[in-house]
Amino acid sequence: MSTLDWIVLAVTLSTIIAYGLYKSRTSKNLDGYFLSNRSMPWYLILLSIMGTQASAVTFLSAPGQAYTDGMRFVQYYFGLPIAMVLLCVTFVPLFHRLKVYTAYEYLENRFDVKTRTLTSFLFLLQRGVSTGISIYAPAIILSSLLGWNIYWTNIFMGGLLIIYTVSGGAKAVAYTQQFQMVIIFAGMFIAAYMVVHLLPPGIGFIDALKVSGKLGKLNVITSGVNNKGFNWDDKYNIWSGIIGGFFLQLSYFGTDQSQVGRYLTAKSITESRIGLLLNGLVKVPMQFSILLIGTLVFAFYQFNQAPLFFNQVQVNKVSKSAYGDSLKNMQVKYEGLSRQKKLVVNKWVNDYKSNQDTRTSEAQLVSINKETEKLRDNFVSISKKAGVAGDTKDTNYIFLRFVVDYLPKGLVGLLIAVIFLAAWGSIAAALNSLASCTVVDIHKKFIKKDCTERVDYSTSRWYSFAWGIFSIIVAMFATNMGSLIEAVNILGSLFYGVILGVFLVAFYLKHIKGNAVFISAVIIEVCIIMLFWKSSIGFLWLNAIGALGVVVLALILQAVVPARKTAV
Amino acid sequence: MKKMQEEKPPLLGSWKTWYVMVIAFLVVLIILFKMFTNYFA
Repeated sequence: MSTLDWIVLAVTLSTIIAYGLYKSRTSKNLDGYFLSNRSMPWYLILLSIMGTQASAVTFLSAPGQAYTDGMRFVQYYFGLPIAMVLLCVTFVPLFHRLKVYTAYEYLENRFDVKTRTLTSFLFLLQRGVSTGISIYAPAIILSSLLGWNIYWTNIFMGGLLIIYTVSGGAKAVAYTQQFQMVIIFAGMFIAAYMVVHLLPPGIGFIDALKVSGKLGKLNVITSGVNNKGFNWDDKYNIWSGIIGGFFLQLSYFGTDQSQVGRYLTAKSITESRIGLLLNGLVKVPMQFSILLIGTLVFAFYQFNQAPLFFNQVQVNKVSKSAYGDSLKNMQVKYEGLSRQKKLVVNKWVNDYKSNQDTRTSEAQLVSINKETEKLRDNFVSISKKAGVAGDTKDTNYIFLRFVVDYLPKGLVGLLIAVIFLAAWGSIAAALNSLASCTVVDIHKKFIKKDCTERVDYSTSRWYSFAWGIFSIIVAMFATNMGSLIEAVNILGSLFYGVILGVFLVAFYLKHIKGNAVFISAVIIEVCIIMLFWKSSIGFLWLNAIGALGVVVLALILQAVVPARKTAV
Repeated sequence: MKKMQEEKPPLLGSWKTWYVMVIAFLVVLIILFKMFTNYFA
């Protein structure tokens, strides 16, 4: 990175930290620290929930996901708009009416302490781990690009954001997210413009899309049906997106404290609802745009040689292993294919622009791309055979490698700052919510019930700090997880379904008591983990299975177990 | 009064209208995406 890039990066990050500290002044009690005294307008709620959901993983992995797998990942968000309306009708008024700090407090009113504690524990477990991954995601950029030690990078990355999160609580989180989102959108827009700008002369935006489309990367809508019928193992298709995605988004926004904690800060129920409903409308187009950048990068690399493997650190490790010669041969072959690809893609564009038959060049282009993909797979195989430690998938490196290799000075720093800010937005909200759950659902419930407001405030800050340290430690172990965006979503899907099931029973099945729902939740959670472990079912389905499983089993248990035993 | 505020949706007249609106929005998006895929394939 050039000096200019370092200056842009340092100025952007310092400004955010300073702004977060400036906005840290709030009343020194739980209401001020966790709920900003319920004073936020709808646009801050909207930006805050968007900033919480769109982590660095979103901006790192999504373009890479589009590069390798096409745009079908956008279907994952199809359940979101409907989930937002249902959420506004059911969850939001209830949480506002009861004036809760955490979503799980409601479950004690409705069922019992153990059900509240179970759901709170499941949240803390999955959110604590996924926050660690969210720290690791931007840390790999620095370590890969600058050759920094990944462990020290994790500490540096997590440490800076803890400063304003611990200091200012929910208010600092919301205000910095607003600022962060503006910089992120500007940065991504500039990146998209630059990809098109860097295409060869005469090749424009539409031409780039044509190239990506012909090579199957613009597969936005997929049915999940193959010649053997519906493929349940297919992760992203319209049905898993609408049904599985609906359950996942409903549980994420309705039962995950990192989101509930954002819209509970609204000054009224209407402000919460507007923020959530608008989020439902803008999220799919936003995600589509981010994925589109990935397909443009893919088109760019048809005209320019792409690295054999985007994680150069991994390539260097393999070249020093016993498989160094195999790698050299592979690279020679790959360079030959890349030269051939460049000729064929130019011929294809010329044929297409002059309305000539493109079938031959198109078939050649597809064939060359298949061969280069095979070589990439071979590289992964030899890096595994060589026993080289590190990430064997390069999805997360694709976009940033392009940025570092091709964007002009200054913009590289800005784009790296964008990744940092995106990470900080979601991590800060997560730390705040982890602390609120620990304080309200665990500490004040089981450890020290009656404390002064000042002590509660101080305890909350300490828990925010402790969760920050825990997340950094988790980040140290987050290697070998493949696509990080998938890792975070898979982790959520293991727990969200069950938590949502408990809430659905609470809302809609008034005759079911605490014991029945608690036993159901424990049994179904074990089943979900076994199902994920032992089968290859698409992870989005786990949300629907978990939620419906808890509802059905709770109904059965309530019916078969004598009322005396299940009554609370 | 508070109950009324809880039941009243923002911006549109009823929650039923909101459901219809988001489903229609989703259908339009899916059609546009399908056309986008087909056009560039």
